[in-house]
Amino acid sequence: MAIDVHSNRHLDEELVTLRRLLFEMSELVDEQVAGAIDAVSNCDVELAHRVRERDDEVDKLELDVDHQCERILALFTPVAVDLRLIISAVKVNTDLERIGDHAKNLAKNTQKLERCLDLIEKTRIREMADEARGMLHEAQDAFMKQDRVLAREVLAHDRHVDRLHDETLKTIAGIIRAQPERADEIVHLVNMSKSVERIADHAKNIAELVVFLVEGVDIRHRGAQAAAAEEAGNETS
Amino acid sequence: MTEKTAAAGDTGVDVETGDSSRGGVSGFRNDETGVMSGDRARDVATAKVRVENLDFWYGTHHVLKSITLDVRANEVTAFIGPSGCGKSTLLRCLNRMNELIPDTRLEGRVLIDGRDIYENADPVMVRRRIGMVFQKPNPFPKSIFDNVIWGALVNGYKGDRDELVERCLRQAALWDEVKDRLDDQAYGLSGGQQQRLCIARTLAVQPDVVLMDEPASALDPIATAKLEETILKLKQRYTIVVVTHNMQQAGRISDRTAFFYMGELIEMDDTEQLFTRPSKKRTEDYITGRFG
Repeated sequence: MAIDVHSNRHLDEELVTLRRLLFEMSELVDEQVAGAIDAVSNCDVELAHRVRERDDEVDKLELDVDHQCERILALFTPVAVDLRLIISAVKVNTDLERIGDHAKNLAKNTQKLERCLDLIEKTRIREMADEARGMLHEAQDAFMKQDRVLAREVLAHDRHVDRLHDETLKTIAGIIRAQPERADEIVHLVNMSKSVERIADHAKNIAELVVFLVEGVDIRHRGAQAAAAEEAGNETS
Repeated sequence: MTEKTAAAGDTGVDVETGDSSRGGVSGFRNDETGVMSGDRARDVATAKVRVENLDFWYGTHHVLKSITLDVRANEVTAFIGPSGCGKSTLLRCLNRMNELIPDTRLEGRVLIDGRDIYENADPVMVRRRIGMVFQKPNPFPKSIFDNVIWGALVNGYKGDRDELVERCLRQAALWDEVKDRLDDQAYGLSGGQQQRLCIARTLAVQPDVVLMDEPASALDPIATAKLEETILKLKQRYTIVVVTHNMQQAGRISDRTAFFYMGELIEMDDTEQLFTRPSKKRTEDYITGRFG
């Protein structure tokens, strides 16, 4: 059966605007994470300062994306895949803004971390940072291309980052026991590892939203979902 | 006349004899053999209206093609689709109103509580049991009271008229607005009030099923909201089928939605499922405004 297909141009134009804003946000946050990691790795205070300054741009873009989502919801009442795009955009926007905050925090600690570069080398933080940045990049790519296969690959990387974070914390615990006089520096090390781990978590969130967007399936909190399904089964039986 | 209960399968009046003591879900004729899926079994168990392999023609124009669907008791079912898709025609098939149009032909079956309304059934009794509310409010040029009671009197109602009028106006959520002016002309009511009066008039003949053909299309947003609220209350007692072009309205008021395109039923599902994760591409294209 032939269908007389024509585009809902007005809504499509609004969605194009939304995608463009998200793309800008995504590119900026990617640059912020790269800048923060480079600043810490090279003790580049000037670069760190630039990262902190540009966080305002991230915040502004967050507001722009939210406004565009609100506008589309109010004026077009989207359904089905369009509705999932708006829901996902709102959440991805929040994840990206939070990633921006973690990048800013990393940058903020650059000077303090200068004194513990030798300690960083003993941990797996650099490897974590590379992995987290790669995840972020792939998750953003998957969202823009609506590529669910790529999105699922990101999820596997998160488990690797979690393992590296656990190893790093164990290493740091050993350093505290061996060099308690460096406790102040070690606190910054813990913060740094936590920030990188959280960046990976937010990248994972974005990847999960890509699966929701494309497949219409919510893969978050599988444990809670299974428990709810079991509970519902018990009620009906 | 006793007040109808909200129980699923309460059949009210028998389409053949007018006997209000007969009927019920137990009378549903199940021609299917083999194992039914859980959903299918549930549909059969609660189906008030069943359409089987229905085809309909206006002259040589084939407007409904092999439609099979169930309308569940005490639910609101919405029919959606672009103009000319056949949804209003199907609605009229559910109470034999298309028979009033010359040069039409129907094949297939429409069963209410398992009884074929096209086989050995009196069309007048069918239309009494399956009421219709139209797109534009069409009150009689009479008082509010007479509008409600008229159909019931024509059908031989002998009970307490005041009680019936009050009950129907209350069910149509109009009583509080008109109780002090029942003798006023119905034309003096607003459009939204007139539409609810038409609903009250339909309810007065004790239907089981109420069909509504774009009932809010001529109403402003406030009257529409009131009408939708009324529909949601009515489903406790009646089975309701609504044709609407307003998909947000379908989302707000219906439990199940059927999407039609070019005379075919493309997809029927729980409304939330259909508007969030439709299974057919054509449904998604339509509800997202990409064709139609």
